[in-house]
Amino acid sequence: MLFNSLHFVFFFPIVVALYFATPGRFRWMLLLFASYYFYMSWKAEYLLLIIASTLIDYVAGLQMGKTPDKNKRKKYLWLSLASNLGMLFGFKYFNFFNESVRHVFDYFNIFYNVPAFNVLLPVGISFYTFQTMSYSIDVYRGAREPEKHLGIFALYVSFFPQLVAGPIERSSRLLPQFRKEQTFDYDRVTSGMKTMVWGYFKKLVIADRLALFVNVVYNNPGHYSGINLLVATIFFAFQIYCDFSGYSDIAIGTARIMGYDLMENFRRPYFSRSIQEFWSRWHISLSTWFRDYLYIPLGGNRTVKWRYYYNLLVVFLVSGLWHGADWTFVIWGALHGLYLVAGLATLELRRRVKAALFKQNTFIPRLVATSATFSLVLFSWVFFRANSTSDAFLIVSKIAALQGPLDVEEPAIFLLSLMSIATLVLIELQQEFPFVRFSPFSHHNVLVRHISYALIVIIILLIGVFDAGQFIYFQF
Amino acid sequence: MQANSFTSNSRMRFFVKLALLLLLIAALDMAIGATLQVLYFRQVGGEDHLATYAIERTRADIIILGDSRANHHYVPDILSSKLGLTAYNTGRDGQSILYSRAVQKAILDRYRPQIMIIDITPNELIYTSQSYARLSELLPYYKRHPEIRDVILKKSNTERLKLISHIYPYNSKILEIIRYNLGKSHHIKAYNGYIPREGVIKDVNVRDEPLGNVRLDATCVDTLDQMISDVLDAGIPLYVIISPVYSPYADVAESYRAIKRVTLAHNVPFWDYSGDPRFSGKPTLFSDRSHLNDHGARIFTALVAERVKADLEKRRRANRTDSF
Repeated sequence: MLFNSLHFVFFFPIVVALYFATPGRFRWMLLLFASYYFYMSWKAEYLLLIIASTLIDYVAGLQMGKTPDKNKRKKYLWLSLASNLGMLFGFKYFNFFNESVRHVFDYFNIFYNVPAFNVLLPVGISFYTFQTMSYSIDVYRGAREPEKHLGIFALYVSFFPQLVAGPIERSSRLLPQFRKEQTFDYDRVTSGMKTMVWGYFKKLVIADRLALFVNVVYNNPGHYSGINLLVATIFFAFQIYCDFSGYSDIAIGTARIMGYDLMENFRRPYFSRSIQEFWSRWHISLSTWFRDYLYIPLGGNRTVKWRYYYNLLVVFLVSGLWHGADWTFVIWGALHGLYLVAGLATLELRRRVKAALFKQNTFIPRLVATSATFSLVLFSWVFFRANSTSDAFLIVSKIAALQGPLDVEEPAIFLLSLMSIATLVLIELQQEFPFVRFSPFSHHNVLVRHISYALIVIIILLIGVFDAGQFIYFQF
Repeated sequence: MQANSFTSNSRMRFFVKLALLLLLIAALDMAIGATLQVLYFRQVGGEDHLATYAIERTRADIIILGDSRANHHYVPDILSSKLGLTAYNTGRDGQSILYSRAVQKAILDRYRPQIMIIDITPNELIYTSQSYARLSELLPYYKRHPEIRDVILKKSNTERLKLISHIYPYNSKILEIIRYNLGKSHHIKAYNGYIPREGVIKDVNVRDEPLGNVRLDATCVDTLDQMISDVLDAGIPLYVIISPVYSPYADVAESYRAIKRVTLAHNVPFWDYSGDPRFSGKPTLFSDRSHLNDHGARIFTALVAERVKADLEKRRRANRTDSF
């Protein structure tokens, strides 16, 4: 069930109505049932995977909680990690590694006959496995007590607003909320609805509109000019941002209506002045997950310089692989790792240059830094979006040559795409550097507020794309 | 007690405001939708205007149906001059047999043309989701044309629900509606629906890439069957034609077999120019792999016109012989 489907438009209000009509101590049952129903709407059989992951991690958590012996705890931790990573590997990475090994064997003319594993990737597997692993690791470390209530734990694993594409929630944040009695709160409900509407606007009006141009160009890069490919790449940068942050907004708004606070997942990442800052603003729940459960255990930055850089590269290579079982994603991750390392290695030099050239001026250095960061991120998006590594390198070479002309098959759609990007940039500029006092959505006059909300819905009806289908991050 | 009444007041306040907001949205939806409807049908240019002309106004003797290949391959003026009949080209870029069916139904509901030509692409009957998604171009006609509603509703099984919104049929059309209410396109009267393509193929080695995993679309097969039946029942001479391609389409076998089977079952002339050496592999006649340029279209239309003329003559002689 997609957030942008009529199925969800009927499902969610029914769930909310039943939720507030249900006595507090039974609400976890309703939400669990709703979450399982939500997940089963994709493929009912895959519910068994979530249930298996839930049971394994529940038991592992309880067993770890029973003993202070670290070695015994470690066995149960490995059980949890092995089962989650095993599922992830089997469904997501087996074919990738199998094909890569096959290519190596073919190169040396050695017979290799391991068949591919032809099965549909369970939606959200990368998200819920990471969520449950964070719980197991926290219990192992003693950072939290194991959850004894199986139903509430199952709800933590499968909570439908964030089940299939995050935010990846920590148990310490989310689990206690399921125990709190949530009453109907007017301000919270309206805030949640506003967040949802903004999420739908980003997804339907901006992301899916941009996708119309991006998909045509990126699916046939040989046919299009360098300028077309550059424009498509810029469009993709905004498409993926609006698609993913739009989903997160809908998830956050949905949960907030019912009284639950999910973590902020995006914070206007294209205003970042460095790649380091970018990763504090983009997919925050994943970057903090990797920081806490991979980077810091590897030693983080509390080690010698070469090891610090190595840790960063490893984290981003794994992050790239998390996003997809293809070399394009590995290259994307590697690029970000290299960017970070290069950024750190040149930090002092850049500070001195900035101080020498710009003295007290902050605007120009900020503009330069933001533009440079956006350009680096843009370059990496080529690999993220391209259908293959050969396509990616073809696109990069054509963009570098920057030959025209710009071929626009449907000028009206192109114009709508530009207008939607401009709208997003203006709104986010206002959020980042509030320069206009007037905000129609929080105006004191109720009529102004209502007309604003109504106009957003009307704009979605007028120029939203309703046939586009699923969110990009569902494939991860 | 106090907490409960606060919560209950809070809920009441929420539902009242939500109801008012929904009423406001509904009112705006109706008002803007009605305005868009008027403006949509007042457009003086563009593809929507051509579609409206085809569905609601043309009374041409010869009707050409199909997608972009129909639209760019058949020159009505040449058909008119060779056959002494008026002609109109209803082909539309990006469309499928489903769209053609709707146009055909709307036309037959109004009058009886003298000849119908269905241009069909070799892989037309393969399932693609775009064939259904692009029926969105027909949404503005849903209210005014009950005869084509069954085709429009094939778009998805939630269309009836979405069509509660008055704005929804005009989704993504606002800029074109504004543009073509302000200015005029010169294509309509000058070319009778035909839009010429200019230029020649640059990459002479261009080939169609196979998609793999293709399957026949039973709905499209049935649609072709119904289109042919309706035309024959109306006593209208019908020609099903595959117009020239520069290089062969991939993934066509199943679709091609189905086209042949259906046309044979109805004993309808089926003319396949896809491998015709007068056109295939000749880059100067094509603007791209799938579409003839204006020069190629004129040569092709002249050939078709002559063949139709000969066929009509043969039918007339056969009828005279029968009656005698």
